[in-house]
Amino acid sequence: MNIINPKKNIDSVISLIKNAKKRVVIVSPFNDLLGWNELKAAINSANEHLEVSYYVREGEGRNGIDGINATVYEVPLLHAKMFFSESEGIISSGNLTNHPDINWFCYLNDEEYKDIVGFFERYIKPGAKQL
Amino acid sequence: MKILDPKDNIDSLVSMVRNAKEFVVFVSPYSYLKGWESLKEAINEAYDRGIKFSYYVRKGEGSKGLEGLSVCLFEVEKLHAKMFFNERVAVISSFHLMNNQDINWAFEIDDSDEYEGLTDFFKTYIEPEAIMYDLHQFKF
Repeated sequence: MNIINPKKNIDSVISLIKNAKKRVVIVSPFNDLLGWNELKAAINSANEHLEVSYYVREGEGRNGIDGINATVYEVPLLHAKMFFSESEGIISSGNLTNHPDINWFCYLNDEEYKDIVGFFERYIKPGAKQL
Repeated sequence: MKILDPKDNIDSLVSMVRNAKEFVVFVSPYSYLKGWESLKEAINEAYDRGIKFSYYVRKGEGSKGLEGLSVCLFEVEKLHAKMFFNERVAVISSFHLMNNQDINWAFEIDDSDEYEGLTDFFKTYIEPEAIMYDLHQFKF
Protein backbone atom coordinates (compact mmCIF):
# COMPACT_ATOMS: atom_id res chain seq x y z
CA MET A 1 0.00 0.00 0.00
CA ASN A 2 1.04 3.52 -0.61
CA ILE A 3 -0.34 6.53 1.24
CA ILE A 4 -1.17 9.26 -1.27
CA ASN A 5 -0.15 12.89 -0.80
CA PRO A 6 -3.42 14.44 0.47
CA LYS A 7 -3.22 17.14 -2.21
CA LYS A 8 -3.65 14.37 -4.77
CA ASN A 9 -6.39 12.35 -3.07
CA ILE A 10 -9.13 13.22 -5.54
CA ASP A 11 -6.75 13.25 -8.51
CA SER A 12 -5.91 9.64 -7.67
CA VAL A 13 -9.58 8.65 -7.78
CA ILE A 14 -10.01 10.53 -11.07
CA SER A 15 -7.00 8.70 -12.50
CA LEU A 16 -8.39 5.32 -11.41
CA ILE A 17 -11.68 6.12 -13.14
CA LYS A 18 -9.98 7.31 -16.33
CA ASN A 19 -7.78 4.20 -16.45
CA ALA A 20 -10.73 1.80 -16.07
CA LYS A 21 -11.50 -0.43 -19.04
CA LYS A 22 -14.42 -2.52 -17.75
CA ARG A 23 -15.93 -1.20 -14.57
CA VAL A 24 -15.75 1.37 -11.80
CA VAL A 25 -17.06 0.80 -8.29
CA ILE A 26 -17.37 3.76 -5.93
CA VAL A 27 -18.27 3.06 -2.31
CA SER A 28 -18.84 6.30 -0.45
CA PRO A 29 -21.55 6.28 2.23
CA PHE A 30 -21.93 10.07 2.28
CA ASN A 31 -21.30 12.47 -0.58
CA ASP A 32 -20.93 16.10 -1.49
CA LEU A 33 -19.28 16.43 -4.88
CA LEU A 34 -20.09 20.11 -5.34
CA GLY A 35 -16.98 21.79 -6.75
CA TRP A 36 -15.29 18.56 -7.84
CA ASN A 37 -16.18 19.08 -11.49
CA GLU A 38 -13.29 17.04 -12.86
CA LEU A 39 -14.31 14.05 -10.76
CA LYS A 40 -17.93 14.41 -11.84
CA ALA A 41 -16.88 14.63 -15.48
CA ALA A 42 -14.68 11.55 -15.15
CA ILE A 43 -17.53 9.52 -13.64
CA ASN A 44 -20.02 10.63 -16.29
CA SER A 45 -17.56 10.02 -19.10
CA ALA A 46 -16.77 6.53 -17.79
CA ASN A 47 -20.46 5.74 -17.49
CA GLU A 48 -20.84 6.26 -21.24
CA HIS A 49 -18.74 3.23 -22.12
CA LEU A 50 -18.45 1.02 -19.00
CA GLU A 51 -20.30 -0.01 -15.87
CA VAL A 52 -20.12 2.57 -13.09
CA SER A 53 -21.70 1.54 -9.77
CA TYR A 54 -22.02 3.97 -6.88
CA TYR A 55 -22.79 2.65 -3.37
CA VAL A 56 -24.11 4.98 -0.67
CA ARG A 57 -25.53 4.47 2.81
CA GLU A 58 -29.21 3.61 3.08
CA GLY A 59 -31.22 6.80 3.34
CA GLU A 60 -28.67 8.94 1.48
CA GLY A 61 -30.08 8.38 -1.99
CA ARG A 62 -28.64 10.88 -4.44
CA ASN A 63 -27.66 13.42 -1.78
CA GLY A 64 -24.57 15.23 -2.97
CA ILE A 65 -24.28 13.37 -6.26
CA ASP A 66 -26.69 15.41 -8.32
CA GLY A 67 -25.89 15.20 -12.01
CA ILE A 68 -23.88 12.00 -11.64
CA ASN A 69 -24.63 9.33 -14.22
CA ALA A 70 -24.07 5.98 -12.54
CA THR A 71 -26.10 3.11 -11.16
CA VAL A 72 -26.66 4.06 -7.53
CA TYR A 73 -27.20 1.51 -4.77
CA GLU A 74 -28.08 2.00 -1.12
CA VAL A 75 -26.59 -0.26 1.56
CA PRO A 76 -27.82 -0.41 5.18
CA LEU A 77 -25.20 0.65 7.76
CA LEU A 78 -22.55 1.28 5.10
CA HIS A 79 -19.53 3.12 6.50
CA ALA A 80 -16.67 1.62 4.46
CA LYS A 81 -15.04 3.67 1.71
CA MET A 82 -13.31 2.24 -1.38
CA PHE A 83 -12.85 2.90 -5.07
CA PHE A 84 -11.83 0.27 -7.59
CA SER A 85 -11.79 -0.67 -11.22
CA GLU A 86 -11.07 -4.07 -12.77
CA SER A 87 -7.37 -3.60 -11.96
CA GLU A 88 -6.78 -0.79 -9.43
CA GLY A 89 -8.00 -0.06 -5.93
CA ILE A 90 -7.94 2.82 -3.47
CA ILE A 91 -9.21 2.86 0.10
CA SER A 92 -9.71 5.95 2.20
CA SER A 93 -10.76 7.22 5.58
CA GLY A 94 -12.85 9.83 3.82
CA ASN A 95 -16.16 9.88 2.03
CA LEU A 96 -16.40 11.73 -1.29
CA THR A 97 -17.31 14.96 0.42
CA ASN A 98 -15.64 18.15 -0.73
CA HIS A 99 -14.75 19.31 2.76
CA PRO A 100 -11.30 20.26 4.13
CA ASP A 101 -11.20 17.33 6.56
CA ILE A 102 -7.96 15.47 7.35
CA ASN A 103 -8.13 12.11 5.56
CA TRP A 104 -5.69 9.61 4.12
CA PHE A 105 -6.19 7.84 0.79
CA CYS A 106 -4.20 4.71 0.08
CA TYR A 107 -3.32 3.04 -3.22
CA LEU A 108 -3.47 -0.77 -2.96
CA ASN A 109 -1.07 -3.38 -4.29
CA ASP A 110 -2.36 -6.50 -6.10
CA GLU A 111 -2.93 -8.61 -2.96
CA GLU A 112 -4.64 -5.77 -1.12
CA TYR A 113 -6.76 -5.10 -4.20
CA LYS A 114 -8.00 -8.69 -4.09
CA ASP A 115 -8.69 -8.34 -0.36
CA ILE A 116 -10.81 -5.21 -0.73
CA VAL A 117 -12.75 -6.54 -3.73
CA GLY A 118 -13.40 -9.70 -1.72
CA PHE A 119 -14.64 -7.60 1.19
CA PHE A 120 -16.94 -5.72 -1.19
CA GLU A 121 -18.36 -8.91 -2.67
CA ARG A 122 -18.95 -10.46 0.76
CA TYR A 123 -20.12 -7.60 2.95
CA ILE A 124 -21.41 -4.80 0.73
CA LYS A 125 -22.82 -6.09 -2.54
CA PRO A 126 -25.26 -8.63 -1.02
CA GLY A 127 -27.04 -5.92 0.99
CA ALA A 128 -27.23 -3.39 -1.83
CA LYS A 129 -30.52 -2.21 -3.30
CA GLN A 130 -30.57 -0.27 -6.55
CA LEU A 131 -32.26 3.11 -6.37
CA MET B 1 -0.87 -4.98 4.60
CA LYS B 2 -3.54 -7.58 5.27
CA ILE B 3 -7.28 -7.16 5.57
CA LEU B 4 -8.84 -8.34 8.83
CA ASP B 5 -11.92 -10.45 9.26
CA PRO B 6 -14.42 -7.84 10.56
CA LYS B 7 -15.17 -9.94 13.62
CA ASP B 8 -11.48 -9.61 14.59
CA ASN B 9 -11.23 -5.83 14.15
CA ILE B 10 -11.44 -4.93 17.83
CA ASP B 11 -9.45 -7.97 19.00
CA SER B 12 -6.58 -6.81 16.77
CA LEU B 13 -6.56 -3.46 18.56
CA VAL B 14 -6.69 -5.18 21.95
CA SER B 15 -3.63 -7.25 20.94
CA MET B 16 -1.82 -4.17 19.70
CA VAL B 17 -2.37 -2.40 23.00
CA ARG B 18 -1.38 -5.43 25.07
CA ASN B 19 1.79 -5.97 23.01
CA ALA B 20 2.91 -2.34 23.16
CA LYS B 21 6.29 -1.80 24.82
CA GLU B 22 6.63 1.97 24.53
CA PHE B 23 3.60 3.81 23.21
CA VAL B 24 0.18 3.55 21.58
CA VAL B 25 -1.51 6.09 19.35
CA PHE B 26 -5.23 5.92 18.61
CA VAL B 27 -6.72 8.32 16.07
CA SER B 28 -10.51 8.07 16.09
CA PRO B 29 -12.38 11.31 15.38
CA TYR B 30 -15.52 10.00 17.04
CA SER B 31 -15.68 7.38 19.79
CA TYR B 32 -18.19 5.26 21.65
CA LEU B 33 -16.50 2.41 23.52
CA LYS B 34 -19.39 1.35 25.71
CA GLY B 35 -19.59 -2.46 25.62
CA TRP B 36 -16.00 -2.97 24.48
CA GLU B 37 -14.77 -3.84 27.95
CA SER B 38 -11.73 -5.83 26.77
CA LEU B 39 -10.48 -2.83 24.81
CA LYS B 40 -11.09 -0.42 27.66
CA GLU B 41 -9.32 -2.74 30.09
CA ALA B 42 -6.35 -3.14 27.74
CA ILE B 43 -6.04 0.64 27.42
CA ASN B 44 -6.09 1.20 31.17
CA GLU B 45 -3.68 -1.70 31.78
CA ALA B 46 -1.30 -0.16 29.24
CA TYR B 47 -1.41 3.08 31.18
CA ASP B 48 -0.66 1.16 34.41
CA ARG B 49 2.35 -0.49 32.69
CA GLY B 50 3.75 2.95 31.87
CA ILE B 51 2.88 2.91 28.18
CA LYS B 52 2.40 6.38 26.73
CA PHE B 53 -1.14 6.27 25.35
CA SER B 54 -2.21 9.17 23.12
CA TYR B 55 -5.77 9.39 21.82
CA TYR B 56 -6.73 11.88 19.10
CA VAL B 57 -10.33 12.97 18.50
CA ARG B 58 -11.99 15.60 16.35
CA LYS B 59 -12.17 19.09 17.77
CA GLY B 60 -15.35 19.48 19.79
CA GLU B 61 -15.61 15.81 20.69
CA GLY B 62 -13.55 15.96 23.88
CA SER B 63 -13.96 12.86 26.02
CA LYS B 64 -17.34 11.84 24.56
CA GLY B 65 -17.58 8.07 24.59
CA LEU B 66 -14.23 7.70 26.38
CA GLU B 67 -15.35 7.92 29.97
CA GLY B 68 -13.12 6.07 32.40
CA LEU B 69 -10.12 5.75 30.09
CA SER B 70 -6.57 6.59 31.16
CA VAL B 71 -5.07 8.26 28.11
CA CYS B 72 -3.58 11.57 26.99
CA LEU B 73 -6.40 13.10 24.97
CA PHE B 74 -5.90 15.51 22.09
CA GLU B 75 -8.34 17.31 19.84
CA VAL B 76 -7.60 17.98 16.16
CA GLU B 77 -9.61 20.32 13.98
CA LYS B 78 -11.33 18.68 10.99
CA LEU B 79 -9.93 15.27 11.88
CA HIS B 80 -11.56 12.45 9.94
CA ALA B 81 -8.66 10.01 9.47
CA LYS B 82 -8.62 6.80 11.48
CA MET B 83 -5.46 4.89 12.46
CA PHE B 84 -4.07 2.95 15.39
CA PHE B 85 -0.43 2.06 16.04
CA ASN B 86 2.11 1.10 18.63
CA GLU B 87 5.89 1.25 18.15
CA ARG B 88 5.83 -1.74 15.78
CA VAL B 89 2.49 -2.42 14.07
CA ALA B 90 -0.45 -0.38 12.81
CA VAL B 91 -4.08 -0.78 11.84
CA ILE B 92 -5.93 1.50 9.43
CA SER B 93 -9.67 1.38 9.14
CA SER B 94 -12.77 2.98 7.76
CA PHE B 95 -14.28 2.89 11.24
CA HIS B 96 -14.24 5.22 14.16
CA LEU B 97 -14.00 3.44 17.49
CA MET B 98 -17.76 3.27 17.81
CA ASN B 99 -19.47 0.15 19.05
CA ASN B 100 -22.16 -0.07 16.38
CA GLN B 101 -23.12 -2.45 13.57
CA ASP B 102 -21.76 -0.40 10.65
CA ILE B 103 -20.01 -2.13 7.72
CA ASN B 104 -16.30 -1.31 7.90
CA TRP B 105 -12.97 -2.78 6.85
CA ALA B 106 -9.63 -2.71 8.66
CA PHE B 107 -6.12 -3.56 7.46
CA GLU B 108 -3.20 -4.59 9.64
CA ILE B 109 0.20 -3.17 8.72
CA ASP B 110 3.38 -4.95 9.81
CA ASP B 111 5.66 -4.08 6.87
CA SER B 112 8.18 -1.51 8.09
CA ASP B 113 7.97 0.74 5.00
CA GLU B 114 4.18 0.79 5.12
CA TYR B 115 4.27 1.42 8.87
CA GLU B 116 6.61 4.34 8.26
CA GLY B 117 4.37 5.75 5.52
CA LEU B 118 1.41 5.75 7.86
CA THR B 119 3.22 7.22 10.85
CA ASP B 120 4.74 9.88 8.58
CA PHE B 121 1.19 10.89 7.64
CA PHE B 122 0.35 11.15 11.33
CA LYS B 123 3.45 13.22 12.09
CA THR B 124 2.86 15.54 9.12
CA TYR B 125 -0.88 16.12 9.11
CA ILE B 126 -2.29 15.21 12.51
CA GLU B 127 0.23 15.61 15.33
CA PRO B 128 1.14 19.25 14.51
CA GLU B 129 -2.54 20.25 14.63
CA ALA B 130 -3.27 18.54 17.94
CA ILE B 131 -4.21 20.47 21.04
CA MET B 132 -4.25 18.77 24.41
CA TYR B 133 -7.77 18.54 25.75
CA ASP B 134 -8.64 20.33 28.96
CA LEU B 135 -7.58 17.75 31.51
CA HIS B 136 -9.88 19.18 34.14
CA GLN B 137 -12.83 17.98 32.09
CA PHE B 138 -11.39 14.54 31.59
CA LYS B 139 -11.61 11.92 34.29
CA PHE B 140 -8.46 9.81 34.55
